[in-house]
Amino acid sequence: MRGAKIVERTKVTGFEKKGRRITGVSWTNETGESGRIACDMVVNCAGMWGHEVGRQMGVNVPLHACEHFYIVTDTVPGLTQLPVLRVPEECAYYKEDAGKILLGAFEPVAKPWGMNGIPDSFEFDQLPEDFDHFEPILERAVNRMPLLAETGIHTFFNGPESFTPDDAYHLGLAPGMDNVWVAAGFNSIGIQSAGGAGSALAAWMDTGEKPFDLGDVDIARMQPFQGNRHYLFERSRETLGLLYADHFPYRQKATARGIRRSPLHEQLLREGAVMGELSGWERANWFADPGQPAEYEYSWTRQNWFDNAAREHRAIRENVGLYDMSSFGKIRVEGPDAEAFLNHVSASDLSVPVGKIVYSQFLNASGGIEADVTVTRLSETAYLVVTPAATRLADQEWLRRHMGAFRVALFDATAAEAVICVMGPRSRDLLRRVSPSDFSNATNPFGTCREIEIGMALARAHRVTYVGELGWEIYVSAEMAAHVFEVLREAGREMEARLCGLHMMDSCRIEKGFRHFGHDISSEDHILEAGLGFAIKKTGTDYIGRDAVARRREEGLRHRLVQFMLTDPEPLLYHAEPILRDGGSWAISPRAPMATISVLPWAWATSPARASRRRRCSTAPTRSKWPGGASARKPRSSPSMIRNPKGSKPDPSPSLRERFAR
Amino acid sequence: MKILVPVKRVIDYNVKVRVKSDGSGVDLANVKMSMNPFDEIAVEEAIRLKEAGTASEIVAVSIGVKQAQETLRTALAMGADRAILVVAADDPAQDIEPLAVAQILSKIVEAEEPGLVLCGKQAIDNDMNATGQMLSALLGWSQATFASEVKIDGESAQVTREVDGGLQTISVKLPAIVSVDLRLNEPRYASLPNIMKAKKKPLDERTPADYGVDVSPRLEVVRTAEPPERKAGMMVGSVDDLVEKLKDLGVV
Repeated sequence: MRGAKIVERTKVTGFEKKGRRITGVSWTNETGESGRIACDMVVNCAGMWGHEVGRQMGVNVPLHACEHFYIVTDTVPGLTQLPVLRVPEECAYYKEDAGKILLGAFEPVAKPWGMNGIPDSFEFDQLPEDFDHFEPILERAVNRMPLLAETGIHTFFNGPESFTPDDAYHLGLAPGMDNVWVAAGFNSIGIQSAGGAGSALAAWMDTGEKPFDLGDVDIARMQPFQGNRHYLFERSRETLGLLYADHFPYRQKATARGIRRSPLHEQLLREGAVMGELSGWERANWFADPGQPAEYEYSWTRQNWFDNAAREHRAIRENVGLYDMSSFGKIRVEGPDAEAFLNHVSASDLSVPVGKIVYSQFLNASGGIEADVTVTRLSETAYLVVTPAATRLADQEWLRRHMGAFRVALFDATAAEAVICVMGPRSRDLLRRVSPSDFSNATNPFGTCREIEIGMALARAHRVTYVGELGWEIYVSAEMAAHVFEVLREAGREMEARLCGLHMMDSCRIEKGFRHFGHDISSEDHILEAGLGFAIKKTGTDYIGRDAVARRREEGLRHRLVQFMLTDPEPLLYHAEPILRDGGSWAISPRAPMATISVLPWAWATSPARASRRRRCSTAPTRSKWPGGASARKPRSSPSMIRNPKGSKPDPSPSLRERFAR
Repeated sequence: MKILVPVKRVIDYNVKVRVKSDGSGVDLANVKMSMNPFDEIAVEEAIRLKEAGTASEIVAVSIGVKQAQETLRTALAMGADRAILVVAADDPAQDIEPLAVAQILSKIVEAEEPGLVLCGKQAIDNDMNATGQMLSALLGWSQATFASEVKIDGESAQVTREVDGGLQTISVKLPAIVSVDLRLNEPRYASLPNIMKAKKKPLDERTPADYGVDVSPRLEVVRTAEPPERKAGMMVGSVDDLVEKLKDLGVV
């Protein structure tokens, strides 16, 4: 049967679960009838009830209702259709509404509603008006649109809507279940988003694959803790207003902070760390100098941390820097079939010796990149999959959903270990000062890990880098992290080792040509076109996406991810800037990391005929004004090495940019 | 001439009223409240009389919970000059019954000495339709109820009343109580500047004790229930079928 049946005024009373699937939904209606709908798939599109319905289903749908205010005037004589007016700095929007003016607000401090649950019967209803709350907006509105002073106000409307922790809606397959889908939490842009969201979700449900990159809205980006109602309450005060606030680059949320802290958190704060938040993690983005206020000054030009990050970048290039990557998602894959399972899910060859670190992608059936990770073989039967903080849950779910009959167990080991990065040409010198272990190229070449003694603790030194060789990521059991950090910090003083933040990391990794998942590459991007073919296994077992890789090799690439070096260092590139060639739109713009110290923006290059399809890309902007006048284009003094599965020898080309230039 | 306008804070006419599960009343928690629509008509009529030069001052009065202040601010924003709030209850669920309201109003009338009291014919929450009449009796003033037109003519008012048979016009001696009906006027909507200015207009706060009135309830609410759900109808094919069905049901 085609088509759909819509049943209104019917309440869901329960779900039947079988493992990771919902098999039936029971219902009752106003006339007392009840029944059960057997189902292959369920979509939770319960709007502001979506969180509660999600709980009943056993899935996490983080959203909170907030009061939203608008007024409608009396009929204004002679008023005809007008364009919609938005005045972000006055938090207001205006539109003509059947001969009247409708004025609404997205005020900076919103009023969350429904903390004790939203009544079943609350439909098409309204809440008490709150003139005092709305008044500051209205005062400016009278000034903006003087006819509001002359016209009576017909309606003061206050109706709740749902808001999510990051102001993006929730779409897709809910983690934890295999047939529960979500389309909820539309942050007041439901009407404008509905067509596309519905189309994307339908395609995803139909084919089992995202029709295009949906990373910004994929429900799998939400961390389990974000379902905490107190967190949602606090965060939703801010997210409503963020709809109209200036989205400065690197703007940090002001509410609901400090929830996930590295074991080094307090130590880093004492050293001047300025924290940014990602997936609840507090992470040092940059370090303020003594006497410099340890806080962001946002702007659309170079922000106040630019020179700090430049110095951190330079330390990594020329000396040694320390930074905290404890927020890495760490997924343990263990069991007798761990090797076979990972060889099935990953495009890389994971039949490697114990201690080997492999840079790897998980592909979908189209060859698109679903995850971009490193996999370390810890033992015959145990692997550690390391992924960015934001993608831990998504990647673990991807693994879980492809587990089939493989005898493996997955668990999230993120909190078990801190990660202290020791990077830069003198990183080996620093480690030798605090550890008797052997860090030589012969014993600990690139792409390997070893257990080491450090200070009075034990740790694992992973010779791997996201900022360019030389360097190590020190994985240390969480309770010993503070000690190891102290030891490194103390020994580093004599060497002028610098504490670094994630702005530095972003800058260095763009300069190095390392992709960032979710920014430069996504499920929409074919691994070969993303320039990551080197990570694909040459032989061995079948893996997800293998056919698509073979087909692309045969048919040739449609696009390439390339980097551009700006000749003018001044412009700051942020997202999706078009790149013109011969006066016409040729390739597309950057989609990712906003300002960096590097002058190397990413772009997806495609033929003119296809340019319209490629509406995105990676980015990077800017260049630094180095202290001492050196330019970012100055040849790097540090040895360059790309993450390479065979990574024991340096990559001959210092960056992918140069590789593509050949 | 001074006009006194009593206004009541009631559940907004647009809100779906929910009866509490224990039947003790309706749920007022976090529900949008507004001025009783008939009282808005009374305020509007008073403003028009003032604009016409017939009235000199409009005093709005509300008796209820503290939040009735918002209702008075609405009257002030529309054009009333000042307000008196009599805080007679802490619990929004406690209704101040018509007799107590009329007793308090009678004391305020004695103090204010208005030439006319304009009130809504009834409040939409409990539909008592009694306060105006009781006030008239307590004061010994003339009354004209269900007004659809009011003309002030020197010492008397010509009031057109909506009655079952049509329209009835009576003349009442001033001072008088006039309760207003739906078709008297269409109330204006306050503008934003007037709403803001209304916050600065005088609002005098009192208690029932100031007037020596006991507001404790004399009526007992036995039960509150939602109207019965309307049952689904049925489609019949022809007039004959209809007649047949009606016969089956014993209606004809």
